[in-house]
Amino acid sequence: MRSLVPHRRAAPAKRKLQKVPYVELYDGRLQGVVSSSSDPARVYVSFIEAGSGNYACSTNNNRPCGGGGFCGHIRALVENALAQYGADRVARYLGCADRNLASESDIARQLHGTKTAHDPGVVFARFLDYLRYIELPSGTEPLPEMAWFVTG
Amino acid sequence: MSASTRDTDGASTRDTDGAPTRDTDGAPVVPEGVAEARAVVDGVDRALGSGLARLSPDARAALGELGHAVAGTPLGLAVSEAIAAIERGELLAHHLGALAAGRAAIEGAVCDALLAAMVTSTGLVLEPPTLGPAPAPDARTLALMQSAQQWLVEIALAGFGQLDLSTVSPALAALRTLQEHPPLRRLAALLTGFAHELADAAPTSGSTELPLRRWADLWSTAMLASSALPATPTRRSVTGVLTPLGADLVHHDHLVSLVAHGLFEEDGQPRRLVRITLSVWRVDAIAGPEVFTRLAPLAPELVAAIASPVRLQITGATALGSGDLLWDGKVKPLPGAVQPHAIDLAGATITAPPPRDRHAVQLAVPIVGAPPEGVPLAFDRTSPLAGLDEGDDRGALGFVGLLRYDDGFCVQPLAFATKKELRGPAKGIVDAGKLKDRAAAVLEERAGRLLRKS
Repeated sequence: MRSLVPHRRAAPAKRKLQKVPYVELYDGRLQGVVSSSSDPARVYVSFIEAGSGNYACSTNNNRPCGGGGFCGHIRALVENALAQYGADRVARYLGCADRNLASESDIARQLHGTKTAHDPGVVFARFLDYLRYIELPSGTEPLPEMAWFVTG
Repeated sequence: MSASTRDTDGASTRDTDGAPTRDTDGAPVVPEGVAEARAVVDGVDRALGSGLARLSPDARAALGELGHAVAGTPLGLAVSEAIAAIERGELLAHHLGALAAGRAAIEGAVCDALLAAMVTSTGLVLEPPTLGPAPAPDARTLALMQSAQQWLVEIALAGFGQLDLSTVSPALAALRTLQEHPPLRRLAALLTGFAHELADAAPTSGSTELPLRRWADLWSTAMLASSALPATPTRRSVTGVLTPLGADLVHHDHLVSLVAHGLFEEDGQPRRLVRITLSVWRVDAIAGPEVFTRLAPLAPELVAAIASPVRLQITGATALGSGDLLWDGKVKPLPGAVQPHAIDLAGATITAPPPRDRHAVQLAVPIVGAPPEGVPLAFDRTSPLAGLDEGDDRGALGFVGLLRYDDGFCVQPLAFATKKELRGPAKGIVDAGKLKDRAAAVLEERAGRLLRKS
């Protein structure tokens, strides 16, 4: 049994970046930024909290999303999270015992959360921090420590 | 001087000074003592798993075993003092640093023995690294190292099996300053991967599948990296011909490195195996062929030569005493395609890892032609970005891979050549040239919308 490196993960499936530019399993939440389907200038900030299943969705200037339950934005968020991370990793992170997630309804079935108020600023700040990685300088100096990271 | 090709009968043997001809296609033999060393390290890892803040009788015994194992070495006294302090509940950073050093010394001894076995079986010539002194960190660097170390102490006290987000989060918040401080680029690359991996797994209590050995490796490597800067490999300017053999991709969600392995021929010097590393920070949405569009600008001729192998004339590049080559010279592709899988590597020099990097995970000995008899192919060591899957060896005429050790020798495939194609990163590199949508551009445009609206 080889154990120095993690088990190989599948390569992420194709994601709709224009629709969901940001999705991440972070700080105890599945969170992300979802583009509005009607207004190209508008984006929504959404999340589902691990464990409780509590969720929220609002525009970035904190106008709540009109949809009830898991709205279309959360549906898009979950769909893209499943593409990026795979059902197993999303289910494990959220605390769903049945890891066969096909859509947001498989999460709703297992976690009984309610809509909750939230400050979109926290998720948005993390999105900007996430984007910062693209700007960090690249290099050609050796990085031997990366030998441990084969499949992440 | 040119890369000589393998004899047509495929046998690669050589006579040196009347010594018996070595079968260079033989499987390496696991040296004695590796299993015993592993048992000592496993004990330390269990102690780190349950947390140094409360030592069970098993953990105390395991630390004692570590003390015995390094007694009589230059580290012996420091490690035994540190263990005594930890058992008394004095859990200071330098005590844990000594524990990490003791564990690393055992891994280092195993690494040396494994590398000797690999070199013998492949017919390579081993050369020690050449190193200058370790630089002293300036005040800012030292402060960042101490802050990283404080977090490493916290997680060792809690134990890998008792981590929750509140223990891990401080490290995530501190990554930014580390990443923006080039003298600590190695520590930043390591901690970014490690901290996100722990955050992804937290809370860890109750989990039965924790990769204790892996996390203890990462922890002790980071502990040493945050205690003192490593010795600097020597640098010299070189001119010669590089034959790229293949490329390994290593990555976590935020950084990807392409490590090219090649044979470098320099006038008046032995033929030498070298590595060239190209690294870019990334986000996980940047995957697939787009990874190559971001890496290629760092060394366009090299990336092209991996997709479509040719030899490269290199003038005035920097060779490091660690066996690495920097991509800072003039490069000219030479006419004529080469077949990496047909290059005879026997007799080439390979550089042993510098002291701080002596760990089995760092061992990657290029193999061409076919994997040694009896050594399994390890597709799970090959990145999903490399475009190689189980079964891609079928129908292959030639092979390039890396001999590795992970509880047994294995061969990580880098590429398979068939009559028609080169399987491996070559396809992704070609596809990258045709990409239209750039993920980074989409992400930045969307972020711009958010910024204007908020």
